[in-house]
Amino acid sequence: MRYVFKLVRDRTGPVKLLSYVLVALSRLNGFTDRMLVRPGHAPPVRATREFVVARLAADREFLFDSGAALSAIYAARQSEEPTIEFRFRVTIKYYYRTDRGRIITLRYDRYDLTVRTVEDGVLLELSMLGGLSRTDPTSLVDMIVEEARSASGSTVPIIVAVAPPGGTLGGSAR
Amino acid sequence: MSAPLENPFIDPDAVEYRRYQVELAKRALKGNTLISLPTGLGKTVIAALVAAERLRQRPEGSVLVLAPTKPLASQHLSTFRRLMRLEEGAFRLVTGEVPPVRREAIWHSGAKLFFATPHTVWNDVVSGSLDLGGFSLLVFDEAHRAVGAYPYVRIAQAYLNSARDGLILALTATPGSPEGRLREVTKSLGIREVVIKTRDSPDIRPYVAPLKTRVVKVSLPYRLRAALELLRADLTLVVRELAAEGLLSGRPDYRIPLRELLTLRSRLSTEDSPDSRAALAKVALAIKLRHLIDVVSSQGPRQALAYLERLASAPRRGKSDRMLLDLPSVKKLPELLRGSTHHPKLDVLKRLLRERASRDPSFKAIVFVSLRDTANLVFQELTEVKGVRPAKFYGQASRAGERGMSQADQRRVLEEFSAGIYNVLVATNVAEEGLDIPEVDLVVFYDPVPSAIRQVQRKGRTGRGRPGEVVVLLTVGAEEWAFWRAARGERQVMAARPSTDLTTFTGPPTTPQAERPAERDVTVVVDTRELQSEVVREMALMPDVKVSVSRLEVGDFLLSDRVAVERKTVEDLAASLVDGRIFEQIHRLREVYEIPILLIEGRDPYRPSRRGVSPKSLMGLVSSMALMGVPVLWARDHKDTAQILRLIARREQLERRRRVVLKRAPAKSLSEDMERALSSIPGVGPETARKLLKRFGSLIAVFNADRDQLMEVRGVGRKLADFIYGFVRRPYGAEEGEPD
Repeated sequence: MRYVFKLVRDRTGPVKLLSYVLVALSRLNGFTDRMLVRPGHAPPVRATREFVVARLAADREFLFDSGAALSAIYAARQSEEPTIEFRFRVTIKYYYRTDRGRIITLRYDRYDLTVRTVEDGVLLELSMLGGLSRTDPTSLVDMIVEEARSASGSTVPIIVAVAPPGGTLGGSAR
Repeated sequence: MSAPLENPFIDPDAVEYRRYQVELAKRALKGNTLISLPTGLGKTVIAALVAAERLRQRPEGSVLVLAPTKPLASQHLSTFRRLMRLEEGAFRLVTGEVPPVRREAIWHSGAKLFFATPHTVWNDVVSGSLDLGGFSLLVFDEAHRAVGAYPYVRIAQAYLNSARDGLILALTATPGSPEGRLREVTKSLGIREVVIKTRDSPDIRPYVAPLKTRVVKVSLPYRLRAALELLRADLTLVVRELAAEGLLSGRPDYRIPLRELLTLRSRLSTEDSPDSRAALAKVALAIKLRHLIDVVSSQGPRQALAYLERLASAPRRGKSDRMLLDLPSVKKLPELLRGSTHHPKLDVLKRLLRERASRDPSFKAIVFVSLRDTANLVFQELTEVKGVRPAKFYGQASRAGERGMSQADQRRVLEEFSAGIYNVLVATNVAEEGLDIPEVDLVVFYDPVPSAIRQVQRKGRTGRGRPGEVVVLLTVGAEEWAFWRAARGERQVMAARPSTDLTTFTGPPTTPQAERPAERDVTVVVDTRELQSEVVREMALMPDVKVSVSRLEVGDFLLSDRVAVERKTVEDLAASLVDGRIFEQIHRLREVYEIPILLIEGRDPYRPSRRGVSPKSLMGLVSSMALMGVPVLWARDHKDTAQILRLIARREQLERRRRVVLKRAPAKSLSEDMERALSSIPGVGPETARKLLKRFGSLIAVFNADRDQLMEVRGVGRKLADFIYGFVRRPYGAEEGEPD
């Protein structure tokens, strides 16, 4: 299943907005928090959720840290292509420790994420690769948008439009 | 317009006739009454009507109007002055800013209406400079405060004991529930009748505008949610540890009520064992963690980090501070909060005000916040919003790095807000109560208050004359519970039977006014530093003891020309033993008075709870005192202390006919003599005297200095400089009046 989201912000060009999204993804990489999960039919437990963001390039995965984000932003700014596109794999891990100290790992959620500039904003395309969608695509995009806005250092909101599953939000290339 | 009560002191042109005000004033004249009326409906007018009638009935009496704060007392004075036909000198304001000597003169100035703050009045009652018996009416504004140790309670007791034909009028917007606060207030103030009017009362309804309340829920960003989750997990662990030790019962998790932790802390602080000390640190840690959670959830990341910064940079960190800073959740907090700049409520608020300003450019709003830090942040952000002209409004207390707002500043801001120079007031809780803040269209609760009374007071700032709106910003999953609990309490606060038009409740009978106290026949001189102690309060209520206040150089209580008492609580005794102060104090007491007495107050004298002083050391101290010939007396509590002092004073002054004579301690040096000579000038304390002498070098140089030179000394303002200059040049025997 493919989900498409379009991000738009007042007085912010697509490359600028893309750079905020890239910083957001690098900040999301390595982030952990705790959430209530239900492992199978067992009662709910508080598990650690960990985000791993990797950039896909040349059929390989590169962990997307702050340095990688900076070079990606640099490349985007220098690019003369009408459309700038980056592909990522987002893996969300869930694990918890039992009373006896054993670490139980639950099924990961895995998404492919494509970030692309369009005329008036940035498109995020998410495809589910596996997992139980404990963190659904909308929550994931919410987190990316929150982080992007925080990265921008401004309180001007980033508006998110959602396309119906499988649909597109169009938008001609930059 | 017509005269509400046919009274010569009321200016009919200044008062709009409202039937309910006249009815309530007539009821209040029949006996001690508590009137509860929603805010903005003219409680002060009712007080003025009752005061005018009392002045007409008893021309020899005067009226005392008490209000909890200086600005409020001053505001009442202005309102009364506007409503009443009396000359300027009939109204006097008495607050703590006026020195005690001047206050005594004001009380005896022959004015008809006095407006004062309760602490000042109580101090003057205790020092004997004010006799409440001369007032024909006492008005207690914001009477819901008359509980516990608040001075309203003591003043009312003293008034009921001393006034021959007195009358009490208590006014509030938040009377409390009949079983709880209301009962206590009526008992404390000797109220016979309670009259409660609500916004729904038929005679009130025409005067109130509709009030709409809207709750806006705000979700926390995921980083803040993650931070909260970690902090809550740590708090749960600490609470569970305390529960495992049998110290807490009920639900041992992060939702533990703060009150339960505070009660446990005060219980543990009276015990003295290694176990209780360790537990005390954990309780303090739990309280701090709770505070941190509240700050993260309702104020924002910047405030939370500032709080941790303050703890980390404190010169002396307590054990619980160290424990807090070492918690894994707290260590991770800077990393988690680094990305988030502010609480999402701030965006909602900005949007709300921007929309409002574009719809109605003449709108006015108040935004209530809990912390001054948040007020600063909100103010700063609102300055960027189009159409919004914000102003800050907070208390007088100064904090680290920031001065409080002076009374004059507060008044100026309110005037400018009223004039439309500002249209949004960002206020802390100082704006909640009583102050006659101009009518506003919108009140925003930036963070909900857990107190029902405060919630009612905040709402009362709008919907007075024109329709108003209240918007409450709530963080999902963090603040909803506190808000709804307060909202539930609000219904109780606003009266037991809100649908009833007029609720009448007969309180306990007042003290029979025939029971006039006996003449006070013994005098106890109390040091000014002891004035706030429970012992003085207890003695002031004794009918045969006159408490006189003076700055004693040695001892705390003077009972005759030869008996002086140094009072120490067990904690004080341990502390003064640690720093060696006690021996010097007793030596000086012995030098001046023939019979110096050390009185120790506390239930277990050899076991002070908070000091690591061994019982043996204290026993040694007491033994030394005995060998020095200093009698040591024990008292269980302040009541025992007051009784012992009274008994000794009676023995000395009545049986042995000894007078109370203040003696001066021998000076340690000539410099000290010089400081004393200078500090005998009214308004010049020992500290100012020292600074003046340091600056000018000698007494003669101080006396010869002109006004400007005097003002160069820190602590000497224009008024004091004028006074000193005039005082040292005044001819001896000249009539009282302003210095030259």
